[in-house]
Amino acid sequence: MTRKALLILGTLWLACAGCAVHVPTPSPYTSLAIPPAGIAEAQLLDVAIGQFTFEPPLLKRGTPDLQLAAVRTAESRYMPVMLRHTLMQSGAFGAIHVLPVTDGSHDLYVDAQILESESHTLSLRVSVVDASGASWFERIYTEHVGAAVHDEDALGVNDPFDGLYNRIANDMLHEASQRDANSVAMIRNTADLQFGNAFAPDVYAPYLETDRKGITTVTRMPPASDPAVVHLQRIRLRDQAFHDILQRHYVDFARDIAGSYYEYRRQSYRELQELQRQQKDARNDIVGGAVLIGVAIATSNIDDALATVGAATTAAVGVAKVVRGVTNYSPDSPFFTELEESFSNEVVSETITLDEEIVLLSGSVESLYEQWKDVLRELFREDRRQPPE
Amino acid sequence: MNAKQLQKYLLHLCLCVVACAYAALTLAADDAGSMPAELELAAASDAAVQAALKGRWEGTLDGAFRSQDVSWHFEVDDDGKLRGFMGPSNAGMPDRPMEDLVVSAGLVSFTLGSQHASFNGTITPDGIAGNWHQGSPLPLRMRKKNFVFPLSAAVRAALVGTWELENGGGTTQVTFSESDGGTLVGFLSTPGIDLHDAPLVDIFVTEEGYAQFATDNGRRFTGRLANGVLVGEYASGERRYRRNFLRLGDARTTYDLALSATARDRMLGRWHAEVRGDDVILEVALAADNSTQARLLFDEGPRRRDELLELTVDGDTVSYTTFGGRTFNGSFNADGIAGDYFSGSRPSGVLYRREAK
Repeated sequence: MTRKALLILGTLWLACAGCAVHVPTPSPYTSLAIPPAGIAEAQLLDVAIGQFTFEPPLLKRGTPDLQLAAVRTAESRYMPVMLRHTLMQSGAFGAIHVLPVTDGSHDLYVDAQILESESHTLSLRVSVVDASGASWFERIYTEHVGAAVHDEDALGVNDPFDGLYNRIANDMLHEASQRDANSVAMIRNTADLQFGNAFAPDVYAPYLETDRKGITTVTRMPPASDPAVVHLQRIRLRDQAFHDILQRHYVDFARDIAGSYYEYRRQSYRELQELQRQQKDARNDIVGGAVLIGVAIATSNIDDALATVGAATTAAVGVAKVVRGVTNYSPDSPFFTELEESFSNEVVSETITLDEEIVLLSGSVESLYEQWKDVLRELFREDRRQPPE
Repeated sequence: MNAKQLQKYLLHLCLCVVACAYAALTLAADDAGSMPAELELAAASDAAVQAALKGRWEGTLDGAFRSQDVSWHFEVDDDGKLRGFMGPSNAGMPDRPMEDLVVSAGLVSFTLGSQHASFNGTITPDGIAGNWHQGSPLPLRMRKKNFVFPLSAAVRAALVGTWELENGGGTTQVTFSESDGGTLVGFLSTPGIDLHDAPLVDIFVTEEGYAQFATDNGRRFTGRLANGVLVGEYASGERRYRRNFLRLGDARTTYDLALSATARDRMLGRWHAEVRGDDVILEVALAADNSTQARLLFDEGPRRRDELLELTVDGDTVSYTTFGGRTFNGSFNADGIAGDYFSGSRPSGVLYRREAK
């Protein structure tokens, strides 16, 4: 009988350890580095941040977890806006745009994959590549936060993980500072010509050369008076104006969900803390049971010991059940209502005036971007038919 | 530069500083006519500055994606030292202490290390304006005002009147009265010591009975209103006590818990639990006047009996608050009533089992 009780306790202990709720210790906070003397206009690089990607979340039986997928979709749009905001605050970069994908006309491209996103942990795989195709870095950033940002009396309006965004921005600034004026000018020129090359390769490809490693260099620049350059600048300006329009939608989306998303993460954190406490109590009960069994062996009072084992079993099984049921989100959170509304309102329309023509784009932000690229192709064709005035 | 030249340079420098200070003071005196008296601080004495700062301040952090209403509370402790606290406005009384608080020459600055934040600002004619640094700087303008919290008539009625600090020898009383606009005003008096009355600058009460108030001279109470008793913690400066406020003249030693008949029938009797190795008995009994009363009984300790002020039975959930500040939240199960027992700040999981009759 005693051996049986000990066996049950041992199994319970292992079960509890296996499904342990772990709330990690918060990471040290990293402040945003701001270049004290600023950066000259000619040295500023434009940045495109792609919507973050993620592995589709699955439930245990391999079916898609639709609710978590909705959260990840929202995060894939929200988080790049946070990174953009941080980069803007640093003052170390030029125009910074969040785009559905990073195939625009920018000097730097930032892509990120959400590896883990919970109330206490954010982990991102971030890669930064410049217009020539040279990788600046690819790193995994992980940040843990705790009570300081989730407490009832926490102060501030920053994202709980702003320390992580600061680290990415600081690393980008560090890499940028390693490049001299010539390198920066080369990146900018490459970006200009890459943009043209994407739409009119027959005109712009002769100016570019790509090596076996995929690094593109500018072989020569077309003269400033070349009609090709004039065309390019003209269309690039419009493209940048369109990117500015897209930012409005991304920022509005982030503003719409920021409040409820913050509350949702805070609530999730509190629930985890509570589970952690319950689990600790259950483990203590198991230890107590084991001690009592030891005493029972000595005093032959096995009934009391088994009663304690019974209570510990109930507690431990209860907690284990809850832990198994725990996801990293609270399905009842108002955040989901906010998400539903945001997603259902995501069809937007933009009217864009191009010289004498008015173009109406309509659909999701991603679809607007695709439609805009069609408009750009048309613009290139038009401009090549009509010499610039 | 030789020694003589250096001496001459320093003399000129001193003269320049004196001239600049004179000009600044003259300008400040000219401008003072347009400032409210309480904010004529730039050139005021430390005591005057402290007097003007004391109390509740409100403002909003307006971020790019979220905003947060924030409050400050300044008080002067018995040693004449100015202390400040900051917190979100919706979380009751501000309680995060401002670190490295400096108020000097019309400037206010402090840090909040746990929040990786700091504030630098200037006292202006209509408040304190400056920058909140937590990441990039955010403008923050604070205005002084007493905290106004709308309350239902029932809650106001439950608080209006004079309350006395338990075991305080009649030396500390707090008086609430209704003000226009459906809220409460109040002051803290010390009749035994005959200090000046201190107005309550923060009164925060919720419909659920959560209650806080503070003066601008470092007295504060945090607790809840339960069965006509303000049960909680009282602090005077750095000293904190677990003390209740009782209505003046309230001599009750037992409390009617006003349970429904069903709830009373479920709870009547003696329930035993073990809390960290000590026996605790929850005794629920019917008194001679047919009221339901309950108490916790302990084997050990100076307070061997702790009367329940509230006992709530809602379906299978059970909760109570005692006069001594103990609380319990739990629910019925097959073995009894299981839940969390709080005495002080540390919760303990307990199981109350009904004692055999």
